[in-house]
Amino acid sequence: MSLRKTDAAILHVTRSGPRPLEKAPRRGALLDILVTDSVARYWILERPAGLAGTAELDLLAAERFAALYGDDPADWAIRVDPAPWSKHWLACAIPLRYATELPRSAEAAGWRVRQVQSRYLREFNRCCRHLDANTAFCVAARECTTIGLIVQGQWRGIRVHPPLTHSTAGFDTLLQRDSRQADLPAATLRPVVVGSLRAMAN
Amino acid sequence: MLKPLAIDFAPRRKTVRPAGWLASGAGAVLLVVAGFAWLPPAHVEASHMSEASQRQRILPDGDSAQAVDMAVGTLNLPWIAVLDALNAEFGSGADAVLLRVETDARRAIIRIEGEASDAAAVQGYPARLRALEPVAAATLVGQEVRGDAQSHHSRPVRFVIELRMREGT
Repeated sequence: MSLRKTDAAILHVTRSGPRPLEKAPRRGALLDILVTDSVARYWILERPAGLAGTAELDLLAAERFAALYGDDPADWAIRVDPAPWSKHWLACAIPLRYATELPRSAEAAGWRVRQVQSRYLREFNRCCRHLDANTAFCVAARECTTIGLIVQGQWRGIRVHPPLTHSTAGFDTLLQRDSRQADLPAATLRPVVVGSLRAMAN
Repeated sequence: MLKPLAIDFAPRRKTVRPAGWLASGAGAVLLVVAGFAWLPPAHVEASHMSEASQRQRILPDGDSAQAVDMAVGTLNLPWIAVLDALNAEFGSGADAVLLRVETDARRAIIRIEGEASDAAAVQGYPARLRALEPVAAATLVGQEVRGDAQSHHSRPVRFVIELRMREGT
């Protein structure tokens, strides 16, 4: 945990729940909540024609979430990145308690919550400036492996797999499967792997 | 090079960054400078501004506006014409006397209560009052025979007639 004011401490939320929350070293210290991809949900939303507003987008995302995962959207915090000029938008959901109750508890403990993000989103935002428009961006972590497919700068697919240590298929196989699922030739995408198990992917 | 994803589940809060402070400060300075540049305004402009602000200040709220409307309606009733007409109808030589006149300015209604020498005289009054210039309609609301039932003399009748004023009167 850094003492510099601009640095944020990280509270990891794993499959088994959030790590113990420590008391803030000083009032208003920054905290980032990082949710593992194994509890997050991702999907690609096709941009609908004639979208009236953000409320309609939220409804659409919730409806799609329920159709894909069969969970009640009311129990999840759902966000979409409605990038302009893009036909496909990346959507993400995390359990609602990690987006509401956990930040509230952190604030009560003296923290100032700066971000609540999933692991994949955080890693992508950290690396995106160095990525090509045709990339398979992967986060190979101990809890899961997340592969996102980007073609010409647009999201075409994203899936969360078991961790490489527990997967019967190798990383190349997973990437080929995902590419086939998204009707993409795998060879066109440059794989970029980050995470603690990236060596296994390479 | 790809753009970062704008997805964050953190509770939304208003953050003021140093750049925001600087922009706000610069804006405030610009406003002050612009304000001084416009001062002093020309006399005509100043008078208009003053009138406008006064107008703004004296604008009544909903209840006050309703009260003002009612007062204006009351004042606009043709009192003189109505009183002259009633005086002529119920003056000396008439077969009825006026006991009370009530007005409902909002509905443009005048309610008169009087006493006639007999019931036949009462029956004729609505038609006579309807013929008056400011009256649009006259309705006999009620009547009541007064005096002793055993008396052989004609008994007076107390009556109430509503007069509705004409639109625009």
